[in-house]
Order: sequence, then C-alpha cells, then structure tokens
Amino acid sequence: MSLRSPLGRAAGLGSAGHGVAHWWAQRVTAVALIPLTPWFLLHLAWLPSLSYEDLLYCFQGLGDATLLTAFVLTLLYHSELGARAVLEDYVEGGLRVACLILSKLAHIGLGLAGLLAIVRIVTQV
Amino acid sequence: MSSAANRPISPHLSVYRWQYTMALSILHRFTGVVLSAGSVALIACLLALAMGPAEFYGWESIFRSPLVRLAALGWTWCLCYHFANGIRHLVWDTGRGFGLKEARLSGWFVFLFSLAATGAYWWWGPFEGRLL
Repeated sequence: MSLRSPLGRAAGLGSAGHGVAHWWAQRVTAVALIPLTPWFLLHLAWLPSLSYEDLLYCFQGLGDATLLTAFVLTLLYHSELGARAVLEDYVEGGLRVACLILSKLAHIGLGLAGLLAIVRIVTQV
Repeated sequence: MSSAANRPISPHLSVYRWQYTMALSILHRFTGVVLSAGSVALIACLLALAMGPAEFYGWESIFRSPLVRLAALGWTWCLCYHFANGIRHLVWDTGRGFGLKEARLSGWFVFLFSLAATGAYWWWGPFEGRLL
C-alpha cells in the first residue's frame, strides 16, 4: 500500500512504465526497414533466376550477408513488437500471457534459425 | 481498481459513420499480422538455401506450387501496403498530415501505391509475371 496518490504514481511513467521504450523501438525498427525492405526485394528482382546457385551467390558477399542479417533481425524485432501490441489488444487473461510467451519464443527461435542459416549460406562453397 | 475495471472502453467504434480511412487503419494491423506469419516462410527459404542444393531442390516444388505462389503474391501486397502506410504513420508521428483532406489523400496514395508496386514487382521482379 502506497501513500502516494494514483496520479503521483502514474505521472511521467507512460502507459505502464515501459510504453515509451516499446513505442520508440517500433519506430526505430520501422525507420531501419525503410531502406532494408526495398534492398531485399530489389536484390532478388535483379537476379537472373531464382536457382540455387544465383540465390546462394547473391547473399554470399560480406556486405550482402550483413544487410540480409540486418533485414531479418530488424524484421523479426519489428514483428514481435507488432504481434505483442495486437495480442495485448485482442486476447485476454491467461490466454494472453500464453500467447505473448509463445510469440516471443517463436520470434527468438526464428531469429536464431535465420542467423544460423545465413552463417551456413556465407560459408557454403 | 474495481472502479477502473468498470470504466467504458474507448474508442466506441459503433457510434462512428463508416469511412474508408477506418478500413485503411485496420488493414495496417491485418497486413502486419500476415507479414509476421509470412516471416516463417522467409526463414524457411533461408534454411532451404543453407541446407544445400539437394534439400533446396527437394523443397523447390513446394515453393513453386500455385498455392504458395498466390500466398507470395498476397504477402508482397501486404509488404507494399504496410511499408507505405508505415511511412504515413511515421509522418503522423512528426505531427504532420492530420488534416481531413491530407489524411484521405495520403490514404488513397498509399492504397494505390501498394497495388501498383505489387503489380510492378510481380511483373518485372523475380517471378516474371508467372502466377502458376
């Protein structure tokens, strides 16, 4: 039990203390995706074909691999933030907690899989 | 806290007249959810590429199936829409573009851009206009 007024406790905290961090991270990842998304799409569009050799070759350069890693991780981070906002709005109670945990773990899993896949793509001869 | 729990919840969607900007607004969420789901396919493609040529060509028939092609087309549109509307949101974050006329105009622009960009990418992009 606190002696402070409800207003005093809430003032300056935002929605739940971390709201601003969530909002800000969503914006930063959004801004990062503005160049990364067209890069990814156009990189694929300029390929002579979607064969294994062409796809492998176009992501094996260090610069391309770096951009691909940035794209995948930023996309998944942005996706996790968005999925969290949607789940918090439409799912209630215990199911919400379960969904939030599942979403976070799924996004982390996808990020690890993507990262290791890129490492193997870069090291493949 | 009991008084807080009984408070009416905003926004009262049912009291508003239907406007297309509302559809554009909910489409941002809808396309976001589709893109999140599609990121699983994106990672699957990277894994197929990472596992070597034998596995890649084994999975290729799935990637080239009509249903997956159609899903990829839908994903491309969702990406174009969410991309353009996301920039619209970022502009709003700076406090600009809130006027009725501006918001409607930018909404139309975003929607038409998403259709044009999807069409152009599908036609000139890696799929060369092939749907099936």
